[in-house]
Amino acid sequence: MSNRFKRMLSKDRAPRADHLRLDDELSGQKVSASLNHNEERLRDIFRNCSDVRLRPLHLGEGTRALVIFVDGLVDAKGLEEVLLLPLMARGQHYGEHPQSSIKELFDLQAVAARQTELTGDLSELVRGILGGQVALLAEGEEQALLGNMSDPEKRPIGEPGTESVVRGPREGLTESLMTNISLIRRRIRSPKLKFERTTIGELSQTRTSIAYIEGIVKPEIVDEVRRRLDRIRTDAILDSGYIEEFIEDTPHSPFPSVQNTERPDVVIAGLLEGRVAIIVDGTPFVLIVPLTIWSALHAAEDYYEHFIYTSAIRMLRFFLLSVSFLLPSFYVAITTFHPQLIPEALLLTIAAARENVPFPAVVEAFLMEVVFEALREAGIRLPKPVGSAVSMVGGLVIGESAVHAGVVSAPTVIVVAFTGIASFSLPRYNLGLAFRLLRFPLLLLAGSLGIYGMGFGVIALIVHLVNLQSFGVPYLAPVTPRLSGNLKDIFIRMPRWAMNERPAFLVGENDTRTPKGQNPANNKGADNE
Amino acid sequence: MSVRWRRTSLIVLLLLLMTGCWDRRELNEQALIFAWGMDLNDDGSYQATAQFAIPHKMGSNSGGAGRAFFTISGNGGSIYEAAKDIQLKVSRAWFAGHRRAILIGERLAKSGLAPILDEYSRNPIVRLRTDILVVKGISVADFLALSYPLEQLSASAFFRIHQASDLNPDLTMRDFLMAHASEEDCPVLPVVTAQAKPLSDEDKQSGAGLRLWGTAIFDKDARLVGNLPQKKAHTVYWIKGQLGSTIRPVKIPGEENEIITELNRLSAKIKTTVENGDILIGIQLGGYGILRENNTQLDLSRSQKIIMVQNYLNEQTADEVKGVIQEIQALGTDVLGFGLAVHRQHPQEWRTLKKDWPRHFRKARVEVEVKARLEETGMTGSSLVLKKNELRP
Repeated sequence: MSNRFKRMLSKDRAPRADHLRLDDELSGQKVSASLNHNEERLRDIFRNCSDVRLRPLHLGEGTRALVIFVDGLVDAKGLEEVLLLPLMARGQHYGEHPQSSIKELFDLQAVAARQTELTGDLSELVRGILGGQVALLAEGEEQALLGNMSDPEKRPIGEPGTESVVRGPREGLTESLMTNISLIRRRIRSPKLKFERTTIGELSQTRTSIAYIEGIVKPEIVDEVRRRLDRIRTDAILDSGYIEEFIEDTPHSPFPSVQNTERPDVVIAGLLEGRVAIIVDGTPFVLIVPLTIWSALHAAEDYYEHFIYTSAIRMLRFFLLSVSFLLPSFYVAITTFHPQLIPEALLLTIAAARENVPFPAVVEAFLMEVVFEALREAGIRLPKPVGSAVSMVGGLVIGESAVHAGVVSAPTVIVVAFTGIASFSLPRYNLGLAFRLLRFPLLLLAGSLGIYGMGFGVIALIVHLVNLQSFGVPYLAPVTPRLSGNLKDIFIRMPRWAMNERPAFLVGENDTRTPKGQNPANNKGADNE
Repeated sequence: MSVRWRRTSLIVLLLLLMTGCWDRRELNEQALIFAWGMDLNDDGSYQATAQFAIPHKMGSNSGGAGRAFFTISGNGGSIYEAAKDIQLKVSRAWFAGHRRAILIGERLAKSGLAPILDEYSRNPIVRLRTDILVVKGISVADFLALSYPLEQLSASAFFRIHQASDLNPDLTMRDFLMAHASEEDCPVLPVVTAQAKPLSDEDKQSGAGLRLWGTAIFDKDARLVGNLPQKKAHTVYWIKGQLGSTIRPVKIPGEENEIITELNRLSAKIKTTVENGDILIGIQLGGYGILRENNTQLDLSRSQKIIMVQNYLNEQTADEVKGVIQEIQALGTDVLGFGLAVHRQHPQEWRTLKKDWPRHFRKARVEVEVKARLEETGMTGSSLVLKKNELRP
């Protein structure tokens, strides 16, 4: 059995060919002048594709035409009213000189669709049809007329499920590329905002758009994004996550080098800072590059709330970040290696709680962390109404009864719970994941070498972070390498009128964002004069 | 994963297995020591006593029945041997990192602390912020076994009783070691006492008469040479600049009762002059007074009366301080920092003086001046219990 199985898996079983590619089969083939031949060819290509409709038409005097479209992708009502009806009427009207009139219709592209195009290439025609266009072929014409009447089903714009805010825009991106582009364009009415089209995925032919603002973005970054996207060769793209893994700088690092967001305002804020957005059809998650660790710690709302409050919240977030990463290991390290660091009264409380616990502190903490992660995972996977209830009850029951049974000590449960809450407070889910993951090795280090081990772990982490780059931008910029004058939006947020420049490590030439001298306190006198 | 990487991680993993790397010890595998006592046996060997916390009696959900600590004694020719003897009687490895109080028996103090001090300054686990107290009138082992109603561990009571008298117990050990090592000073230690056994039930309830008794004075060899009761001891700390506040009764001539004042923000200045080997030490003490009680017939709403009280306060305090200093001078132990002042102010002369400093200290002439200011007299001028005609004009 194993031999046969191995043969099946072995790489040299068959010559590897890129036979996923649709173009290869059809490349070079032309639309012929004979409608019959074309119809035969298309019927063969779309064999068993029950959603593709071929609708023959008579344009009078024996001139035949063929309309081809994918049911459900095109606006059915529009198709009937705008295309089929006038064509048939036209056939009756121009009955005497059908040939010339068809030629005229093709030459002038006189079809009431919002975008039309002529093509003589068969593969382009097929791609157009599958992309939601309506194709018109006529007897004697060596070209096909493609009209864009695409109107696929889509979800209405709703509030984004992740990154919720108290104050700020509530529109979220959707799965439709065009909707997403329109949401972004609506907020930046400038021709400087570019959306470059590209298609990724040999089978899925997923439409992808590279968005940037010309004049703000560094051209090298756009070039790099184009290059990396062009490199991708795969069958299908179902989510921007597929693309993220192909274009990451350091694929083996747990730290993300690509930001993702569901919020159009976050995308635009990124674009205005000189970042590049990659919008993928079929997913509401837009990728933004380059990513620095600091922007991963900033929430959208930071920019909508008052700067004093925001600065305080940011400090809290940095504290919680270190808590979510360090607290369990710190607890284990000081209770097992350095009890002299704990104040007397607290030491006695912890000692009393630990008195009958059968496991070492590190095992205990590890156990509870795993239980906590399991509860969280179960909470996400279960259907919504069940999920929250199960995780709540699970937490209470496991926490309470485990302590009562003496399997774990109460301080450990407190530490693990606080760590969990702290890790929820990070605004970027994928960054939180990295820290959540890394706290396990750190916990083991702390359990085996104490604070010494923790020091090792933290130093290793810092060395790693300093080495990271995202699309040529250092991950810790502008803190290290230090770019003074760029620290107005890192640990605190300065008021809008004080953030005069765009981040220097991202922006090309146009780096002024807000002219200086707009402090309202200084302008009061001017108003009165 | 390259071969090099694999080899490195293997080495790191093997390092973790080496026995020397593991000093992990769980809290419930340790016996926590909160107080430590040392005394001398009749045969000249040391007796060490340790007070251990019993964690499961300390937690909030425990019944609270019984004492939360126990004590164990051991004997040996050195501290370390005595400690090892204790370890034989304890089921867990003990941890002394939280030892806040070390108690010294009077007998051991008299024979000299030098042999035991070395261990306390050498052992890395011992914290410098340890209080050292001399136990008077009761054996150290019995003293450590006393319970105190306010604190779950009586070890905290020793420490806090010292703290509550406006002194800083954190510095006791440091100051002792510094004074012992310096060429000028002699060290002092606080003295605590308690009622010796047998105790009545009532005594047990009220902490068995546990109290801060005063101060022990040591000579340069760290041998106990004399004791000062707490009231006199305050003077020593005042001159050394370590006292926060003190209570001073003022006797008014012609009055039956006293005025009680409290002096805060105490200050002390020592000015020395050396002439032909004669040493004159001028001490200027300062402070700001609050009038706490007026049991006299004086009307203190009048400022000249206040000045009068202030003058009496200064005179009487100066006399008393002088008396205490003379008492200490008789012992020949410079616990007041005079030597340091001479050294600083007359470094040339000190070179000859230091060879026989105790003798010079003994015969040094001392002048004391107290400049306390009486600032607050409280809410009323005269005593409310007196009628107007009873007041002194």
